[in-house]
Amino acid sequence: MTEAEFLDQLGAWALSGLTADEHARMERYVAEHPEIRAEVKRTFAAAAALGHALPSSSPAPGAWRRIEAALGDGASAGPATATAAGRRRTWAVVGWFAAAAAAVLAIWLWLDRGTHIERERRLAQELADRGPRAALVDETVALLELAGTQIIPLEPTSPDLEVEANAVYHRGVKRAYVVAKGLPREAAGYRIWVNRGGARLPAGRMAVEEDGGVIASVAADSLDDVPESFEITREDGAVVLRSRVKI
Amino acid sequence: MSYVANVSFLLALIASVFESDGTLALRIAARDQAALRRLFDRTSGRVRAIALKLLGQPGEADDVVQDTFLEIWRSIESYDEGRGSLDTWVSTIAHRRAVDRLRRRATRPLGDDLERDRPSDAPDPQETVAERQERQRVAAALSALGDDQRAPIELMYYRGLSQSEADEHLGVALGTLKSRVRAGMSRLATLLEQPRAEAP
Repeated sequence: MTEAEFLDQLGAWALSGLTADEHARMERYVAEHPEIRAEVKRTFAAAAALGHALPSSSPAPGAWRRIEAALGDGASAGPATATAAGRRRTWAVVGWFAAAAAAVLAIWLWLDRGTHIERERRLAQELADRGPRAALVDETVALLELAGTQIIPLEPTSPDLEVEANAVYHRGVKRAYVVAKGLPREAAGYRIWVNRGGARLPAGRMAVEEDGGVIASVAADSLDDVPESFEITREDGAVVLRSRVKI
Repeated sequence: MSYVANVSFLLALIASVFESDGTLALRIAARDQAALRRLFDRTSGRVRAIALKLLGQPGEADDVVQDTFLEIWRSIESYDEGRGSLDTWVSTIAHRRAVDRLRRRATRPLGDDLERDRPSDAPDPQETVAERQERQRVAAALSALGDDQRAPIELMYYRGLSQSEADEHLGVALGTLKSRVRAGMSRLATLLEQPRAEAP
């Protein structure tokens, strides 16, 4: 699909006027061409406004209770049209596997708990110190709350540096943030890198604030696959921080 | 309260006070039903309005509300802030769900009166000032489009017609319809992006 073909179909896509195949092709094109997202955002916002202009209509009493009940039936409950019996059978099987996996995970978490809790406590304090207004703070805090989020220590490459730094990473939602304290302020700031499969991918920049703190998001497109490590460098390429634990 | 519970409580408190779309989405992804409930409280009125407009039957509209929020729960990890607000994403899912139901129906009488589909600019005693202003703004933006651009947009959004059904209904070639929809949506976006006081 060319960009012109994509743009020709974009309006109809936002108006739900495409077939399932066409819809899938449009999704693929956006995934492969992230630079088109601003135009997608603009067009879908205009289509949504057509709906937002309709007089609001209160859901039937008990609507939320029905949704809640369906969620309780299985965290990934099917649509209202699926049969409850079918869902229960599927989720019973999934449930056994999930329970077994959870048991293994619980043992691992118990072993790792002490280190993780202390690191989480320090990180929460550090985030609170950054000031509540930074949008990145609440995103990082929210990511911290997700099950499966990893706190990956970033270690200084020089013993002269007294830096405490972590990458907060979740492989499921493909998001990561770098939180650091004690980095020297550099006029040009620092660069974030993601190492994966022998390649070193640029993953954003970060600047040290006046209080010596940093919070920065890692570029989403560098997290399509699980990274092997994170690195922070100066503008001249000198590595300052590096993760050493297996991700 | 245990230490772990304290930390969790603190983190939840911070996040709930400064909750962006991204945060709310992350909390739903973390299987936080209270976060989904907040999104439901915020958007379910619009979801039902979209479904009711397309389907015309309150029972089916309520099914769409349920389907929409279950789909949000299942697929929240595909939400991308770079592609739009959470409200836009929810409305898109709701519209697609309602259109899917509509297209499964054996017969779909269309009628000719597109005028009645358009958001009215007459006052509605039930709505808030902000809702009324939004409705009037969209109605004005739609009215500013030429008939050739407005008609396919209204047929697709408010009647749930596919692109090929719309070109048949209007008696124009598919290529012509595509360029009209493209130009119309672009113009509509531009009009809606203007500061409210300057909106047509």
